[in-house]
Amino acid sequence: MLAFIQVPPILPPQASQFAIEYDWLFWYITVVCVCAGAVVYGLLTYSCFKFAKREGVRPQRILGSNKLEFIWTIIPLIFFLSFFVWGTKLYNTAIKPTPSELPANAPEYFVVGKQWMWKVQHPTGQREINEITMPIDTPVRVTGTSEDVIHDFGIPAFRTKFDVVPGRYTSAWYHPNKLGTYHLFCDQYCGQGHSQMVGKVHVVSQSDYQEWLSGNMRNTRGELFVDGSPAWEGAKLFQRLGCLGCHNNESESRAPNLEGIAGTYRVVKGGEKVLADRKYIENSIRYPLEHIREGWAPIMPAFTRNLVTQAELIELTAYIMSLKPGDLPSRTESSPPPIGAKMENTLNPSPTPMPEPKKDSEPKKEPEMKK
Amino acid sequence: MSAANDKNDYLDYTPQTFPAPEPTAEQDRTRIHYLNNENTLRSWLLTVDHKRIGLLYLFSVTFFFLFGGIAAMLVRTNLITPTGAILELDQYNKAFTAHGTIMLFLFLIPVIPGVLGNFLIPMMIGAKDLAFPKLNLLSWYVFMAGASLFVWQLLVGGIDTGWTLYPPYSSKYSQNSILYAGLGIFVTGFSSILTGVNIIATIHKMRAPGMTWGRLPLFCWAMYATSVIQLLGTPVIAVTVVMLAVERVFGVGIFDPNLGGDPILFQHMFWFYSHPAVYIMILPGMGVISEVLTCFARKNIFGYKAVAWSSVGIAVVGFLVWGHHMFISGQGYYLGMVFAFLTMLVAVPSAIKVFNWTATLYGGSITYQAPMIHAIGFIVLFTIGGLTGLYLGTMGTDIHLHDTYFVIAHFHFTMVGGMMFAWQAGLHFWWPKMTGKMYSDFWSRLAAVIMITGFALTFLPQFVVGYLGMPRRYPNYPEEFQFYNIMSTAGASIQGLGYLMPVFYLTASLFFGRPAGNNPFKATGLEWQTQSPPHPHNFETTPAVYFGPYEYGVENGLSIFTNENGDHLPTDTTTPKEGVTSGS
Amino acid sequence: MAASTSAAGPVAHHFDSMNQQHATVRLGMWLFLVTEVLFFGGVFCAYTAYRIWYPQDFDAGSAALNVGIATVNTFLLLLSSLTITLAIRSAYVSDRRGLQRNLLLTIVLAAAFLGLKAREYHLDYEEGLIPSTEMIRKMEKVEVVDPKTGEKSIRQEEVLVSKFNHALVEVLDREGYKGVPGKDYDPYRVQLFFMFYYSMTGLHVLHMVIGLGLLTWQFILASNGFFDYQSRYVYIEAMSLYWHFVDMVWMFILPLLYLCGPHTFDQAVHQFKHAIGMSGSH
Repeated sequence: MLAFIQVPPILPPQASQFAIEYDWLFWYITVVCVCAGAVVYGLLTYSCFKFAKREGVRPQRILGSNKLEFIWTIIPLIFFLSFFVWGTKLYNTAIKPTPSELPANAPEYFVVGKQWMWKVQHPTGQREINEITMPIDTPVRVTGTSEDVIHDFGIPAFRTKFDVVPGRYTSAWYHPNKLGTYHLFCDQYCGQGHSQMVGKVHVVSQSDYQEWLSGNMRNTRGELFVDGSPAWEGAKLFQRLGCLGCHNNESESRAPNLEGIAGTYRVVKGGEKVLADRKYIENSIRYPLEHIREGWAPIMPAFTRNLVTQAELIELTAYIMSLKPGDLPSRTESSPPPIGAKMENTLNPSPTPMPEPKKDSEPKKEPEMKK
Repeated sequence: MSAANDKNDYLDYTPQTFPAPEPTAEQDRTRIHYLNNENTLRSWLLTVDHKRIGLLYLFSVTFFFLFGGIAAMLVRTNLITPTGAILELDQYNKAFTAHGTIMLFLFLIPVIPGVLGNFLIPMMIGAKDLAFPKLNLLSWYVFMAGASLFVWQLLVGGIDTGWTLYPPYSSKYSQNSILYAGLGIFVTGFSSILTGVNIIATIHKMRAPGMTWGRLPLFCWAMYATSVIQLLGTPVIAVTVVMLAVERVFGVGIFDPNLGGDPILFQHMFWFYSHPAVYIMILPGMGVISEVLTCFARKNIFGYKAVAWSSVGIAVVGFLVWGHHMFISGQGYYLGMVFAFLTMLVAVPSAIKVFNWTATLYGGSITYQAPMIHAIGFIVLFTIGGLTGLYLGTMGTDIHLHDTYFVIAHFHFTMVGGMMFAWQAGLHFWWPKMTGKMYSDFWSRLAAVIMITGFALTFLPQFVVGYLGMPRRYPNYPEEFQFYNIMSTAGASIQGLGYLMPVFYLTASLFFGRPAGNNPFKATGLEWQTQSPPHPHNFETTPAVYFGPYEYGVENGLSIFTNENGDHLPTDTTTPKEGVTSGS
Repeated sequence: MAASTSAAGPVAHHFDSMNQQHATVRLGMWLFLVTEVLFFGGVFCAYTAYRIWYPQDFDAGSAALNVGIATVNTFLLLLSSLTITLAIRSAYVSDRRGLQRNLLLTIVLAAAFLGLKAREYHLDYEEGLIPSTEMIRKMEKVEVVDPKTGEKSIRQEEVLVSKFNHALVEVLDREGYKGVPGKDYDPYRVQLFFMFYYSMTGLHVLHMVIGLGLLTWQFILASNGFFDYQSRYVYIEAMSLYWHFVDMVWMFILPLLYLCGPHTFDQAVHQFKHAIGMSGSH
């Protein structure tokens, strides 16, 4: 085992603009501390050698010196306050970036921490687990929350981290400036799998990022959708039109679960069995009260042409046909509002509105995994 | 009760002079002191003698220290390989929680107040006992009750939340025995509070005549500041643990955001105590260092007032800085700025102390026995600990270093490199006084060097790996950090060896050590003017005090320094009286 | 300096004079009370934080409390503070009978406080105001709209409601509280208020029980002549310091918990009548 120990790094990579500014302060403090240490250790070593007990040499009677006390109170204080001022400026950069550092329309990533994984969602809707891919030289904002306990989204190469707390949203921003792959850690103890909540940060070139965006759509089981498929568009529609509000995979849902229905026979009211093909699905969207599934109430509204165009209908149908068990995200209606939020949210049984993402797809939620 | 029975016995003793004459071999064998005046189990378990209670604490904290040390070895051994060498994930979490909680609550907080504070404070101020002797005994029993409950919980199931107990993990998700462990901490906290009450009342009300505040030994100043923090801070952790327990039992979300609560509130309440707690841990150590350095450099302390007032300053400002543990937590931005500013202020008194100690050595006449080696080790290591704290107190740099091994290295440098070595220095310094026996010079010096070397090897690499980003509380880690972790574990083994050595040679000294005499190190201080081991009542008559506490260079009440006429120069606080005799 | 015995009473072995002993005892008790201030202060601070965040919810919670019993208790406690101060005087002049009487009065008043407190807790329990996550099933009228025909109909449906919320709404209804659940206050957050209520009053009760025990012990000591030595009055004084502190804590709890809402005198009287069983209405 010992033979395979890697040669260790000494310094972390500097992969973001903030890292560069950070390291200036870090080394400044280091220089000051080394000098202070040199003074103390120098005096200590000198005294220990020069004033070791010698025959016939009496110790001197020195009670103190107000002047020295003043000097070594004020000088450290000045240095400490310099740390404070510079450090606060640096912190300010991290927390409240100026519009030149982080433009108002910068892409926003959403991060959800849960025991014990990171769910990352790109501005355009792609999702990653325990990984985050970013284009180089593009300032991005990352907003996070937690589903259960406090976690911390930490990227040493960027020199930033922020706690993700259940019940509120916290955020940070990055301006990656070096290509490469870096560590992503969970930096707040969160239980058994705390050290498993690690991942990778990929900083890629702009063109690589575009390629990645279009070629990497995966559903929850990690399978690729077909490139640019209508099913992918249909997934977005499924959420935007609110279908997920009733057609979800929860036990108290108001409408049948649509996972895995393609090609099966459905029992409708009156006892008849109908094949669930594309025509059936398109019909159910346009004229929902024609065939009502046995055991369900006739409450689905009709989605007429002014709500769903024919092209969109095709995409929606393609999505529903592609659904296999486990594909549907679950809603989180118990998502709590942040501290101080208005009360309607806590009592309203419909899903708590998340903050409007900049793009049109809402963050999807995985089914709750209880420990 | 010994106190009631032998109230008149002391009249049979030879009155002591100041300083006390060395005992003859015959006297040494036959005289009565606090260890041999009664020898039943009952006399030990129901003692109200502060010296015996100090020894009771010594046995307890050593026992718990060994426990915490075993947990530390489990943690470090597991980190030899990147995938975790010997423990499962869950077991590792329990191991580091056990290490943290035991070392903090059951060792660092009670050790010097309980052992040296109890033993020495009455003697240093010329009193016969602490203000409330029975309360002192109760304090030890409460400590043992809470500690036993706590350790028992660790053994039967363990808690895995980290010593910081953050909810929602600790309130909703952790499946372990947090309730009873929290109860153990709650009860132990009362011991802390009662000791604090005792010490403050003692120092206020029971100083010998002439022992003004300006003549109080710096150890007493440090203990006074510590006790103030214990008094004010410990109840807050008590009530925080109560609230956490209520939430766990009844499920009503005080800290649960789903039910309207706020987990950050817990962090505020927890750190409101836990930051002053680290000052409870370090201040007594600083007091010990002041005593040890002056004795072995044969010199007065440089800047007595500065050192005394900086203890008080640390105690006061230390209550205002708790938010620097929470810069990343999402607390408000301006609030963070306030805490960062105050943190820079609280760093100044510690710096003043280090400069004063170093200046004390200048111009001295230094010998390097074990207590002195430990004390110098303290200065070296605590300086590093304090300086690295600056990185963490500066908001900008804390962002990257928070919750990494940098933090771990920082607090181990201050708590182990600082406090632990101060404790070893104090133990070795006052051991001859407490037991009347001298330990082996060679082994004690060797152990000191081994401890310091092992410590440095353990924790210096952790600064590097922390800056690289390795998070704390990780049982497994990326491969490139392995080299530093192996270095760290190797150092830990050396350190462990160093800590075990005193157990052996100090115990051996009890049986084979030569009698130490009243004042083997020729120290000043009222405690050294009595016999070793001390008489049950410390002093037959209340001594009168004419000098400051570190009058090295004063013999027979007169300064050794004379002016050109041959007149003895005055000592620092008052003109010398004509000789000093017993009684008054 | 031997332990001197005089008519004033024996000095403990480690003190040099009676004055020193007295001063130390007083200082010790004051120091302990400082810790108690911090102890209660911690939970009061947490309560205050939530009160600032959720004012209406805590308002509603406060209205559901029994301010009538609390008022009576306040007078009992204040009276007991008077009696224990009189006890110091009795001890100071070595009046054994007077000391016994005053201590006994304090004990009786404290016991009365605790008795009423027990009744208050019992009423809370009966009314169902115990925070919990239990859900119960209830029949409720639900309006249903037929999407095809637009017809509205009312159905009885079984719904799950929180047990506490249900109880709270009933109590507030009975009190005539003007808020509407869901609009003016959130019953879930009122559970938080009640958690604080039980914790704060519970800690106070615990301190009162301890104080009661200590008072009883001092009463027994007094009956055995322990306080015939005049110098021992200082222990009664220390006890009274503790007792006044417990009183002070109550003086904080009362406004924080009971009086922070739209309470009227009528409501207090109404609650008191209900508490002692004289309700006869609602």
